Amino acid sequence: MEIEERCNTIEEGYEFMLAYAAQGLPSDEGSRSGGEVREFLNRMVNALNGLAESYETAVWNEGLEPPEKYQAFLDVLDRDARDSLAAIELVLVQPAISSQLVDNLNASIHLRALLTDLFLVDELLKTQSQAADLVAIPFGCERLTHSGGRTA
Amino acid sequence: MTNGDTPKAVSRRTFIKGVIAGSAAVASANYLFRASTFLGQQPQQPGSSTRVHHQKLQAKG
Repeated sequence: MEIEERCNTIEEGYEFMLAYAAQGLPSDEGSRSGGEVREFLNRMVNALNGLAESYETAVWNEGLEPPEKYQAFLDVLDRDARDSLAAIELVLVQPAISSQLVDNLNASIHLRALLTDLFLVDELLKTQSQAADLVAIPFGCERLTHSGGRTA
Repeated sequence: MTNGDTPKAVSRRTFIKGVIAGSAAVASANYLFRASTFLGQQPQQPGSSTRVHHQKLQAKG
């Protein structure tokens, strides 16, 4: 899975969960959005698995400097991704997923840390790319493939 | 291919950041509000009325 797709999936999932939490549903059964919530959460799980590794490959392939600083932050990203994964998978094994449950998942500091990590690293990658390459092709979350090469 | 800098992507991130930062601000406000309410309700704490009354009686004695 490409980094672009991973980022979009995670952000879309969180956006959907915000909407789901506001609906006051007692369960994920019997409603359209209820049917979708597990789908969104499963997509997020897939996007989170190997997320930090994808960024590591991208940083390595792009030769971003200094690598140790990137690695240190990607270690943080990896921890937050694993923590978020644990929270989402815990929700997924529940027989019923209520809006209240999702509201608490949305409030989870682990998910919020992950999202802000993604925003930060994405912005950093774009900035580094623009500084290193005067050809103004913005990349980062949206322009990196799984192997780290540019797709543009 | 979509771009991370498209208005939709940017607005979504802005929205999510607003949710994260906004709820933190609300939580802080609730904390302060609850603290002041708690202090305002001190005489209604369990046993507080009895204690005050008891102290008054002791003062009279």
